[in-house]
Amino acid sequence: MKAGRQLVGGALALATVLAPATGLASSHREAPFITKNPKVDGTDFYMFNSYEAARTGYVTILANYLPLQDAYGGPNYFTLDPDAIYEVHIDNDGDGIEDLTFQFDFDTALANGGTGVELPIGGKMINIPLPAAGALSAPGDANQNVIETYKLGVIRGPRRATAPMLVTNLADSSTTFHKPFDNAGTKTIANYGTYASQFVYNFDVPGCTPTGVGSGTHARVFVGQRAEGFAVNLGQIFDLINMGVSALGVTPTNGQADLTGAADQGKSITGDKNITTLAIEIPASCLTKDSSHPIIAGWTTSSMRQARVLNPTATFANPAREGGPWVQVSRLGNPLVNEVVIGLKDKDKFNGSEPKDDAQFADYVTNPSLPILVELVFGATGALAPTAYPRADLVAAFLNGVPTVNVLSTTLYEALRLNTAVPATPRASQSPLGAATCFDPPADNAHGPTLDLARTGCDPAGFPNGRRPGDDTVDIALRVAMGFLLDQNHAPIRGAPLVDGAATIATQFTNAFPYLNTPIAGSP
Amino acid sequence: MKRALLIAALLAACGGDGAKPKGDAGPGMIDAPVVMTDAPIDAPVTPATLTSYVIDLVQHHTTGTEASRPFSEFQALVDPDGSNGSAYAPLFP
Repeated sequence: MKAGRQLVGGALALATVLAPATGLASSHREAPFITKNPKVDGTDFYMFNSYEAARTGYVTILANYLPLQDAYGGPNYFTLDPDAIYEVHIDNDGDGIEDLTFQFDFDTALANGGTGVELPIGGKMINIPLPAAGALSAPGDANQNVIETYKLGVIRGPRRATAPMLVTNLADSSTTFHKPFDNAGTKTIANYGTYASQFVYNFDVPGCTPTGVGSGTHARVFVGQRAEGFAVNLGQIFDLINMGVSALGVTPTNGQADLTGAADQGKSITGDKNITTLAIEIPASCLTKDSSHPIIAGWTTSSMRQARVLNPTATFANPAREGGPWVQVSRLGNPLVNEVVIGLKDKDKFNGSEPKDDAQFADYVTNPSLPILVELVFGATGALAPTAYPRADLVAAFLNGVPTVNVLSTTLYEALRLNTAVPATPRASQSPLGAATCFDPPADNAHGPTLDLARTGCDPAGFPNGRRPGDDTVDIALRVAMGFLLDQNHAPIRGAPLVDGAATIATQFTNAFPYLNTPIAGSP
Repeated sequence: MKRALLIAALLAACGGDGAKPKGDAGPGMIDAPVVMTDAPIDAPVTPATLTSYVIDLVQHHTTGTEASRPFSEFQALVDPDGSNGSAYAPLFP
């Protein structure tokens, strides 16, 4: 394939870290068509070596969907789409084609075999109008009117080549898993953390005998509502970067955050939102090609049936008839790529594309528009975009990963890459700047920074070597986009400690699977 | 009288591989009856109208392994059933 395509892919991989210069909501409502289908809108993808105690040898993968949930959004809350499939893909040989796929297939049904919860009203049994008839405490609670379950399948090789092998729920030897009810409030679910913990299930990966994990441990899965973990000063960013830049003489006013201020002086607009997380924790040895090839690339997609016909006499079970082949409608690997790298006219195309075909998006990477947009907004102050085209700095540094850290192959494509052999950094020691902390400053204006894994404070287990909840990908992206990896002569503000003002740190999150926090309650 | 509302929505196939031969759009006519093909599973969809295309797609091509249909295959199909409330009745027996 590959010479030209490789360069393209490499640039795209870089753009991941680079491009997100301005509008930074990872991938929430990023493409026009996906805004019509929020249930299948992938928003964030995390993949990291597990740092929970006694889980060495496992990789945690989190795929978030259904963005910007208000906790009080009842009565139907935020069920996933039973007519779609949600998938996590792993490429372990570096060709941009999945070698392993984990496929989630959901079902939403009324209780009592589809009848729903009924109450005796004046001598008649009447179906209640709400999804819960009383307090909930466990999976399959009798008070739960709407029940969400799912099956998890594993596909080896191309995702549509064969039917998935369903995994077995070790709790009951079935192939069905329950999804917890959303956090409606403390009267419905008194202790949501305790309630949700019952929906973490053990399973074994079909066709894999894991190595390097604790005896008697298993892979785990959880699907359910979580508090949004992606911190971003969304409103000001999308309002033409309505922020100050004190270092360049633009004093913040009227509540503006400072683009060169402290990491946490702005407002994370997503801090009062929930999200739905599809979480799996898999032995690394079940993801990698073999023990001598520890690097993997991952991404998540969702797909819908190609045709939908609305039912003129809709029912709960059959509001529409959907059929035909699967069509991919959402794709997400590294954060912010489709959000701020891909041009508006091609965002839905990107969502429907596969990594092996990323050459078609090359120009968006080699000649990124976002640094120029930043310059248009702040140029008079000196916030000048890098002048090195094509962005070879990014290509060189991130050509399929960080050299000596997570380069998977010479084939280039957009995906989140993780070296499963890099030891996990304990939560308390993690840097929000991840592997970006592993560069020594440039020697002079003619040179860029140099990678130094022995550098004090270097945290090679973080983004862009995978991505953890506590990695501040927005700040990393801002800096790289404006030329952190270039020399001063080609990137006038390469050394500016750019921030969006919404801080992310590891200690904001739990220290155990699924790592993202208990969702915000809909009522006290 | 209750008026049935039927809306067919086709999701454009973006970058799908394994494109099948284009379907025969056919001349089509306003208020023309639905022309059903009798395509076996995995055969290319060859309908006369968007209605028959959708019905065939749903009834005969709902699989986990079949490639999505390219937009070019159905973008020019005529859609004569905007006022035909029973056009998609075969999908709701």
